[in-house]
Amino acid sequence: MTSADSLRLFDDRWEQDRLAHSYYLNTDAYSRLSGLAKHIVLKGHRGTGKTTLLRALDWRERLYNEHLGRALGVDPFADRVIGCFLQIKLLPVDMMDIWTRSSNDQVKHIVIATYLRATWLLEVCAALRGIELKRGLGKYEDQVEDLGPSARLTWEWLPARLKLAPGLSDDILTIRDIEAVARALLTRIRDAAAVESPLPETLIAELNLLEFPTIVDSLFRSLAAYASRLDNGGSWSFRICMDEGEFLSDSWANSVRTLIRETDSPVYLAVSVLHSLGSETRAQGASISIDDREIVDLDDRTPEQMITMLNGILQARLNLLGQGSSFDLKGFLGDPSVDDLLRVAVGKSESKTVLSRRHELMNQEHPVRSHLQAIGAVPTASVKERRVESTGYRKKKVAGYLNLLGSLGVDRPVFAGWRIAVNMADNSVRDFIRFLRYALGGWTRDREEPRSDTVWRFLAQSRLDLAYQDEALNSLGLSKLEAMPNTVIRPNETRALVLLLGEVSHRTDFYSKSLKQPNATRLLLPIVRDGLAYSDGDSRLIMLLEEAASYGYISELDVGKDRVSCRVNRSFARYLGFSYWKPQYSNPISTSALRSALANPGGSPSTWLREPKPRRTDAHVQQSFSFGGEDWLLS
Amino acid sequence: MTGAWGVSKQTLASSARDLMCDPVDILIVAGTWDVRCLSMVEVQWERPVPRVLLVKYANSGKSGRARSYTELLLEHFSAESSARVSDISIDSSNLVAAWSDMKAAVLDAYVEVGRPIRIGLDITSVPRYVWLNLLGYAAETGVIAGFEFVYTAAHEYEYVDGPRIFSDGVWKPRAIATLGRGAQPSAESLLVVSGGFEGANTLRLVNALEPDRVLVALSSSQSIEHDRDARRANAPLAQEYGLAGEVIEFPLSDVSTSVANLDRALGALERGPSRELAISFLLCGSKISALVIGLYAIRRDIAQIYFSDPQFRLETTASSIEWITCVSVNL
Repeated sequence: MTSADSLRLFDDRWEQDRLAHSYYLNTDAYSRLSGLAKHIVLKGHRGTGKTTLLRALDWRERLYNEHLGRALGVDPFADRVIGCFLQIKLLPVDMMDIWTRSSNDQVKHIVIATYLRATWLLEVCAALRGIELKRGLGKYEDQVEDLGPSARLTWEWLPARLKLAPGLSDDILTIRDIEAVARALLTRIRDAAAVESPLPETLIAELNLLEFPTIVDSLFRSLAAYASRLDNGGSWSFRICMDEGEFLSDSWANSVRTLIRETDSPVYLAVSVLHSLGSETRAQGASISIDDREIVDLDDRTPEQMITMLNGILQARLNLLGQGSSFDLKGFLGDPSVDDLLRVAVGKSESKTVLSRRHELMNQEHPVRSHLQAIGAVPTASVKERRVESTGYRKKKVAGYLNLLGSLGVDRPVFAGWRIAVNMADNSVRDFIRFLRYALGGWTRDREEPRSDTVWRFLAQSRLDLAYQDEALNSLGLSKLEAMPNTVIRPNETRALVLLLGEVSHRTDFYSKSLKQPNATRLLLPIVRDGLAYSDGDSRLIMLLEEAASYGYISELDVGKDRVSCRVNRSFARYLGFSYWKPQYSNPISTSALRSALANPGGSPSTWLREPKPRRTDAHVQQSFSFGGEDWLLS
Repeated sequence: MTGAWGVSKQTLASSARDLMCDPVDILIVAGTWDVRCLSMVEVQWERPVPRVLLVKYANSGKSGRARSYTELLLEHFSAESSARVSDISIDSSNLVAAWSDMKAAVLDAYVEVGRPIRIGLDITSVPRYVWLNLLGYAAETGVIAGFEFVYTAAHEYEYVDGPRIFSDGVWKPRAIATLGRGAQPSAESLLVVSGGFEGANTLRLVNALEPDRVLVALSSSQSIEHDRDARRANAPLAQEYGLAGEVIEFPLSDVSTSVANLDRALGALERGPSRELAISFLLCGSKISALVIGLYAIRRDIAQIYFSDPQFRLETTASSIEWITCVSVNL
């Protein structure tokens, strides 16, 4: 194996390489995708694994990717699901929107839905032919028998403009016939849209598109009957996986939502989105609900689910690279306590306060608990209670660790261990893989290109030193900040926003006098709706926030009617210095700080957060510049 | 002119008055803030141009040059007794409407002439989105028999709005409606990026489009400095997508060779089993590179051509001219 091969272990974009891509499928999300007879909206920011999950259902991957075949077991179609992976960005969204710009919503939907249904038909036919070619499915007579119930309906509907006709009789329909019809329909629509002639309304009449949904329903039922020959009569379904919902325009998103309501067995849709697919449909008052579709949220996985999945992914990659040896991330990274982390931080700090208290802190059995007790955040416990972590202590120990560091004049934490690394990955597989790559870089001291044996020696360690982990977690945030110009449209403003929100999180975690409200890192933004709409400035800010959320710079963005809240993505927790723990309380951001950051993105958080001198000593004015009602020990 | 389909001839000159172009039925010019738009008053035509369509921009910039150049163009072509001059106004922030208006004007000329028309077009000054749509429309409909595309290359630029950039604000990918046949969305996506001087915006657009594979095409001009700047600007893209020196070269003064280079590079691509390859283009480079891609697209089955539409165009003009070329295209 070459060095380049071994380094692919830490390649955060390996999923782009389709045929050599590894799969780990033992996850709840995959089970729901392959097992549920329901439409699914797959939600998650970039890097959470949406594309990999959808590709694992794709018939081509199942037939040709040996690794996926092994992950699926003996029969890659044992779940009786034929998946079709489609990239929304390859659909002619702009072209159709321009063509239909003067049409009403109903006409737009008929045209877009026809295009999508024809695309699905074409892909399902390609799947059945591909399966037939690779492993055998049925004979010509079987096709004629199974597709027969749709034959007459299809040929009678077939518009003359498509210039197609049955080969022998209108009782005979084959997969090739269905493909020809779907292809002719797509070509006719694209040709009309390209030159904007004829009008969409004329084309709908010319091609009799109002009846097309009925034809398609019938065809899919017949195609499923033919697919059932794969296991002699079971109930088969087609999972249409549409990736990258962010490429849907408003009209197309509306049509996809409407199709979720209009499409029934044996066709189930799975649409991946960064935030939300929305709920309105073409029909007034008819929104899609939980009865119509299930949401699989990849932004909401527990640390235990994540570590199991990450272990599985790494093991799958190792197997693909020919390394059968087992690997355990929990053992490799360890799970140091906050007291252990504090000792490392104290050991390397040269602050005067630390120097004066180093001996005491190093020799205390539970310095974080002692600190929490000293500031009255948890009660002094009996000897018996101290043996087990009380609920109060468990809730506040991370906050206590950061608060103790703040009181010692240490402004950045030491973070390490699988639990912290997984929390900091914030549901992003890509970010966790990057963390491991940075750790390897630190361990090899960033030699030009580590050799294969270096990589295996790195992984063979029983425990990766905490210092390398801490350094890699720091790099995770730093690198993300540096990469912003390559991702978001307004990198300066996005960077300023993240730095500002990060600094507020840092101050609340490090310098709060009491810990009555620990982990107050859910940030409330001063965005209010004036009547039905936001102001232009607030609309731009919401767009900025949504884009930042899509790239994993902020998380849990909630744009509600009366408030907008979010938190900084935990991948920045080490670099910007805040808790890797989930927020328990909220903290308002002042309007002046936000305005200052966006008006002067090249400045620093301390200047944005500097309170302007109030013109008069008015209690209301003072309140608007404070954060979360807390007192601040500003350094 | 040979009558064969595609690029039939390319003429190159160091000055506009030395450039001789084949006859056209209508000449489309535009008054911009770039002095290169005035090349069109000096270009020679084998026969007098019977119709001129003058494009006026709603955004005329700060310096007042766009307004005065538009007046100069109008004055020049109105003075030519044989030419009938008409005009359309274009708002570059509403390119879809601009294309619609242009199509209507071209159809009027077609009806008037009574046969497929030949169009002379200044691609330096007319918006890329508009003339690329016109090229695709021409290939689809038979309304247009051919083009004389005129391009003036700058030797150096003068930047009115500050730093060495041509645009500001958000870049949005906008698909050219008439070029690109779409693709079965199950296909593997390949994005060919025509790179220019604004590498950061290009990389951002590529990341947003998330293609499965990327190829970069860069133009090679007679200016070593321009070529070096473009390579430097696109180095982060090459690094992020692991493109070790694999660049498709477009010699700007030779459109036929550029199209052939593109054809060869894309023809040699490895394709996976049973999956189609959807080839799309992202136009972030020079206008003549856009012409190369447009000409390739009307001959081949490609998915989309994305034009990178900037939020704001900054006032820039050539301070000196390198060369001027006329590309004759038969359809």
